Amino acid sequence: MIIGIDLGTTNSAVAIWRDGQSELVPNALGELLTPSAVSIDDDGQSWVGRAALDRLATHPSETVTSFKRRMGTESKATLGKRSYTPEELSAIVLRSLVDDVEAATGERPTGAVITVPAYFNERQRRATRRAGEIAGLEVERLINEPTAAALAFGLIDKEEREPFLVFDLGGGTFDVSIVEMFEGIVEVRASAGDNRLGGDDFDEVMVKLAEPKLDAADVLDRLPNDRRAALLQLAAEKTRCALSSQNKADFRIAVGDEEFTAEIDTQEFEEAAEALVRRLRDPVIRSLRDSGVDVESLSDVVLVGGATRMPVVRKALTRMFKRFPNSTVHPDHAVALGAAIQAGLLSDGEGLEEIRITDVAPFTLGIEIGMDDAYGGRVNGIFSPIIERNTPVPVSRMQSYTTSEDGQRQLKTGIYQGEARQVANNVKLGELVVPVPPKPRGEVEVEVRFTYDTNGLLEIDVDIPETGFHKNVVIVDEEDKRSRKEIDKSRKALEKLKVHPRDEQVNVAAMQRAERSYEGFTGPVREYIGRSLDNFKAALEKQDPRVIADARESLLRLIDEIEANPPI
Amino acid sequence: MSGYPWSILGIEETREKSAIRKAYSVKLKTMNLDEQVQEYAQLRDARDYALRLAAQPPASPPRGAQPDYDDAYEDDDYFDELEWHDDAEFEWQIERRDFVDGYEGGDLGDAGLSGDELAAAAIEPPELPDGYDELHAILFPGRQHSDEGLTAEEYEQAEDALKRLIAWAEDGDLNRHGSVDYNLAEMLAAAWPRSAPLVERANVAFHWLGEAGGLDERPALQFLNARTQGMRFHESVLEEDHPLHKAWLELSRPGKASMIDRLKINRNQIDKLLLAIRGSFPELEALLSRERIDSWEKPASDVVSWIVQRLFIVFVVIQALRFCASADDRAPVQPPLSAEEEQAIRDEGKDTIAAALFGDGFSYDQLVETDPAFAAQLGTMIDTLVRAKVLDGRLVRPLLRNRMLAARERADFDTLLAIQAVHLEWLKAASEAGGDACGDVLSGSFSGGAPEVSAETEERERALARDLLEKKLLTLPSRTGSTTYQIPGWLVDAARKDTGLSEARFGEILQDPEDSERCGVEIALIENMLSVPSRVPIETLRGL
Repeated sequence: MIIGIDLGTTNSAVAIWRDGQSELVPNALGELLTPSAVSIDDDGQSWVGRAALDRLATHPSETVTSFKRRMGTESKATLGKRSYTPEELSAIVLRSLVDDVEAATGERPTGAVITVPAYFNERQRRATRRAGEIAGLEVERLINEPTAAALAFGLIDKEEREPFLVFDLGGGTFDVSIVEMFEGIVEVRASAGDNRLGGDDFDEVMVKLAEPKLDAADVLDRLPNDRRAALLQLAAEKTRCALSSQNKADFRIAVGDEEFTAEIDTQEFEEAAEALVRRLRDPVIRSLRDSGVDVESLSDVVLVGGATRMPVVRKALTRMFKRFPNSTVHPDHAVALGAAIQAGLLSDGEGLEEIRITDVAPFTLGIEIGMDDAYGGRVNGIFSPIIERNTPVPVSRMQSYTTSEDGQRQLKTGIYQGEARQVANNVKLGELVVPVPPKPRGEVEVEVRFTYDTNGLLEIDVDIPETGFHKNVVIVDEEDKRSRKEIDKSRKALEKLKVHPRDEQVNVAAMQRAERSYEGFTGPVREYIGRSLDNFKAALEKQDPRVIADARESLLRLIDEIEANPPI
Repeated sequence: MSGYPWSILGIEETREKSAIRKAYSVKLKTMNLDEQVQEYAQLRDARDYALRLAAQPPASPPRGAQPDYDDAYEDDDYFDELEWHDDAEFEWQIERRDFVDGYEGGDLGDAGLSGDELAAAAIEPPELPDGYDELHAILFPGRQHSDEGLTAEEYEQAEDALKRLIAWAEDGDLNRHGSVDYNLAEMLAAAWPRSAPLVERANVAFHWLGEAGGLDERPALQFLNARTQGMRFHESVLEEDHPLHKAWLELSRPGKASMIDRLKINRNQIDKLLLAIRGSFPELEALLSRERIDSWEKPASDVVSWIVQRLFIVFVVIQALRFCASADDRAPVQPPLSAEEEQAIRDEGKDTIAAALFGDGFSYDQLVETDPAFAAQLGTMIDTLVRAKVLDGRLVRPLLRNRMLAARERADFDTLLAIQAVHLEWLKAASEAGGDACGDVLSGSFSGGAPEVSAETEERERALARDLLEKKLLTLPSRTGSTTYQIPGWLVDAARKDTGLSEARFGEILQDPEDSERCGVEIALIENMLSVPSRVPIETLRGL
């Protein structure tokens, strides 16, 4: 079975193609979204999802979130006794999603379609693929998140669609795609984005806004950094969500026995977030320009991603497009649903007519060259594009270059992806070394052909017509050279982590939540939660499922009530 | 079927969009895209062309003609609209785009507008944004470009107009925002430098720096962004903790640099600053004092000051020696000499020094005869030494070695090899001596004195010095600033093997002349270069 996975910055979701439609699979807590959070303690005991997120407040040094933002980098997080790469952490989340599918269908999935932001570069895509492999999945395909959302959107009414715009603002990444649908073809005309912009950045703005108002500098300064950051981040997220439905909200933190609150209103938050909102505009303009589609001729603006719920974002959108955006698809579910449709297509799922998806290369690909400047000097490190961004893939393009030195015997150049004129500001994908016959400069012609296929594989052919030399290179990233062994090693290490038995996970999560809530309040409320928590622990001792379920429910109801109307 | 593009789509000529799409879909679904890359590209082109034909008014195009993209790609005209003046001092003519359809998206493909609709849109008078005309009037007084800065009052008005214009743009949809963005960038670029104080605000509003360095950065923005960065650099260099702050102050003072300035300010910092400004923000050079820059750069005065510095050192040495001599009571008091005797002794002394520098039997007169210009430079120094009765050629050697290295600039291939061979020996000796000695050789300043080499090498050095003297290569002024040359890959590899450094580290060292391992790297490079000189480009031979 092939499943569709939306591996998000804040939340992840998994969906399957069943009985002619795509459906989301709930996790052990019965929720359709699993927070992308992992917590591991010194004993190797692990928590994933909601429970891990709740542990962020109580055990910040053992918990990580938003690791998708570090995909494709070497930055590791140390949890308990070991450090984990972003792909290992992602693999832990993926594995729990796979468990959920197994529990729901009785069958363990072997393959997956995983979504990535359209604006993820090659390195980030490869890291995602590795994450899937570490989780024991055959990654059948990586598809772009807005493309997946468009698929889900398109299948709702199966209508022909003039070009529409998918606006996907997630927790950590931002994508814009222009998509058109007709005659069973889903055609992505252009994608643009900012893989460093998302809901997390709005949280940061909120923290900056609220922190000075809290008047808690002394207390906060005494806290360890990670605890302080976690405290503020969680409060910011809560306040931000509250501001989606009301004009004022409290930014509230509790440290020890002290509580601090600051009132934030919509207007001041919007002003503080202005710089971020401006950054939303650039990718929209770029994608429209690249696709040659006019704002007026867009048939729709489809919103995807949790952060599009923010009124400040909606307002900016309405102004940009002079119309109200479409929210027929569920912004948090569309991507996973679309991934499952793609999975269904790959396994010839029933109820699916043939659909062809054609996508574009979101980045320009090219090589490093040197050029003579106007003063007889030489400038190196110039980026020479071979495949322009937003060219439909697969694509094959050729460019000719000549040697730059007399008697040059070797041509050595870097292969880059990006939009900057200087290669130093682009992402390096690999290197190309070719022997050339020694001749005066400029006399040896070298033809470089780039072929970029639908799986995002870049193949390079180098020809030297003069000597008949031919070389074919498939670009392999440095990190990709890591053998299967490394992936197996990671997998084995992750298997050693202790996971709570599935039927206990609800209780574990309830306990984490109560503990977090306990920390978050002071005085009598805290005491009250503490007592209820003790009751729940006592119920667990009884080992009677019905008693436990009752105790859990009353505990959670209590917390829900307290958190919804915090006593002042 | 009727030729391109219909033959590729496999249908009869039609104006039905849906028929074209259907045909495309049918064809596409039979393809394996990854194996039929070219066919896929052709099919897409054919479809796009067919859709464009379908969107045009029914005057039928010549059949079978290849696609005529000219009218379709509006962007081609884009660059033509920006005319550069012939005497282009970063000025251009401004051409305002319509504020209604000004957005660059253009309507490629099937924008879905019929000819009639387009005509209707064109008749509508363009909506003029609030503040635009006012801003234009202030920036172009009397509709002319002006180099004058804004007065305080004008600035206030301009700021106000700009704020209103930005507000108008931000309140509008993408089209409106895009057209203000475009026109404002053009206007500010055209009005430069009068527009300078307004650029930062506009940059924040339209996120212009976000496009900086990008492949599709608009020409107006290339111009403005470079200046915005320049203005930011200027601001930061005025802060006291900026590493180039002192050099900036020095170069902005009027008048020539004095001797004391030269001792106070590090020459490297001056070079770095000038390099940074000329490379990235050429417009900032106007803020500095021309005369002072010249005085720092002028090679002649450089040599003079260099000699004066040297003389100062020599003078101190001599005073020290004299002091020692006079302190020694046992020194016999010499009877005063006659003027002729003294002259004879002096001539002899000059010859001794000349021989020490250019080999046995080489007299001072010969030196004057062979290269009078160089002899004049060297003569002042030798004269001072002789008068002080310090007949040590080594004290003059730093100057000579400096000139010998400078001679690489014009030497022929064989001479170059000889210079490099000796250069290598100096480096080796300096590297053994440790400390700053190596840096002195690398910079060619020899300010800590010339490193001692073996007698054999010294002999070679003398022969080379004489050779260079005869070829009149020693009078060259040393170049200031940096020279660029390339080091071939094989040479880097070979040197890297010798030094056992990683590629990254090696590159780092090559970038930083003050790196502690630079000496070893240069030695390895020169050694390898001399082993197969024919493989090395001549610029590299000169530069290293």
